[in-house]
Amino acid sequence: MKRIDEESFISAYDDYADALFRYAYFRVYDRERAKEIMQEAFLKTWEYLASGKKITNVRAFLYRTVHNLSVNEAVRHKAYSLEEMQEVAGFDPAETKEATPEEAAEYQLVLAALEKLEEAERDVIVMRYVDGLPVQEIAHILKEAPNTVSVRIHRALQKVRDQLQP
Amino acid sequence: MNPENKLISIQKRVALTDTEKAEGRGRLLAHMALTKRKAEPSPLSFMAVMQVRYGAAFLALLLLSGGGVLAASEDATPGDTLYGVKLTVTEPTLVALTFNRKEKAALEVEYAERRLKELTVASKAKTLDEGTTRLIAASLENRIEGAEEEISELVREGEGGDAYHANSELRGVLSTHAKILKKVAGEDPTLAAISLQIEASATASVAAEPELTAALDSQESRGVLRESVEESQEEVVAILEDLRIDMESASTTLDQDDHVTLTDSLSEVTGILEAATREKDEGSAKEALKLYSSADSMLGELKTLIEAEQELGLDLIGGEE
Repeated sequence: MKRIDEESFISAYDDYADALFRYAYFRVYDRERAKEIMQEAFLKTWEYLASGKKITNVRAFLYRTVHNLSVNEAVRHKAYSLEEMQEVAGFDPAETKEATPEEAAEYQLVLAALEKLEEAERDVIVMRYVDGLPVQEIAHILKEAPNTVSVRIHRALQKVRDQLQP
Repeated sequence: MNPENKLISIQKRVALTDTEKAEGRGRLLAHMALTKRKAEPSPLSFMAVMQVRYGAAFLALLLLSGGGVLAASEDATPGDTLYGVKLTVTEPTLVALTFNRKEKAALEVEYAERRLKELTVASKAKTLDEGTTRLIAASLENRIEGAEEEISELVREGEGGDAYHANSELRGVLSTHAKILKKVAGEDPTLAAISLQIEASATASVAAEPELTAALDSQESRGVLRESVEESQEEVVAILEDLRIDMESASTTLDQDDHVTLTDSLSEVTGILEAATREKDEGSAKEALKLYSSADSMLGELKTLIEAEQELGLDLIGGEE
């Protein structure tokens, strides 16, 4: 097994930080907290490696760590819905630069559709479509059978389609 | 824009800014500098030596150790210290802890496929030694036997639909990987022998079909096959959608022959699915399930072949057999 050295771990940060941030973001719906969870996942993973333990699939390990940290985070903080956040503070979920008002509106619709999914469905949709992970790897991260994951993706996508239909 | 593309467009919108990413990188580098790594354990570490010398006793001890080593072994690949633990302890334990018969059968098939992929990848990378090959062959045999036993149990329990579907998946996995392995094996007699064994198991799963069809008849006559049909339909539609995405993402690496073959195969699968839906609508659950299982098996094969082309550089789809 190839040793994960400092250089390759920093490369993992460059490659996966955005995807892990998004994964955390769609669990806690808070940009700052999602950033902290993503960062914490990298720090803890490095500590794990530094203690002499081995990891064969860094990306899967990082996803699982973000997953566990977000679960803890959700227990500590109340999760607000997208609607509540927009009502309270005109919340903008990300640093977005919309080209047109139509695109901005469409983006909000997609976010709202995602928010209506169950958490397990949102997880797989974000991993599959937003971050482009293959089903096999999602199954590996979630420790589930690939067919189970495929079916969940299919059901979730159908729900998103239903939500987005005019 | 379709929903998939709308979802993909989120990637650009929910992202870290360059400054945020640079700050995070800096924090990580600082943390790494403060956290010194322990020396890498030698290949002849305590664990490796114990595993070789004390075999079963060591593995039993692992089970009693609370599962930490088992969890760590899950990602191990051929050549890793914990690979043997994964094959001989972790996976059998996870199978034993799965109590739903249908899921148990699916897990056995999945592990058999995982073994075949590991064998092919390690063989192609020329990292297979004799001991690892023996370990993989033994695990493969156990997993295939396990799948066959679970399928028989499903039949005994009157779950003909689930048994038929699981057998169809097993046959698909075995016949596809026998094809891949034959291509990779070349002059290697051990791999060629494993490939022949896989072919024999695939043939055995074909031979089991009359018994499974009888079990389907029995379940249909009791009017309880419909649920299995619905589940199979949902699974196949999901796999078909997933395959279409894989094909799109692989479009740059596949050649013209591959595209023609894949398009033809997908048309064939679509035809089978339409026929299955007609059978289902006309009330023949048995025929519908057989067709869905056949489509499932074909899609599984296409997906595996695309992966093998991309990851191993083998010409399996449009090329000559």
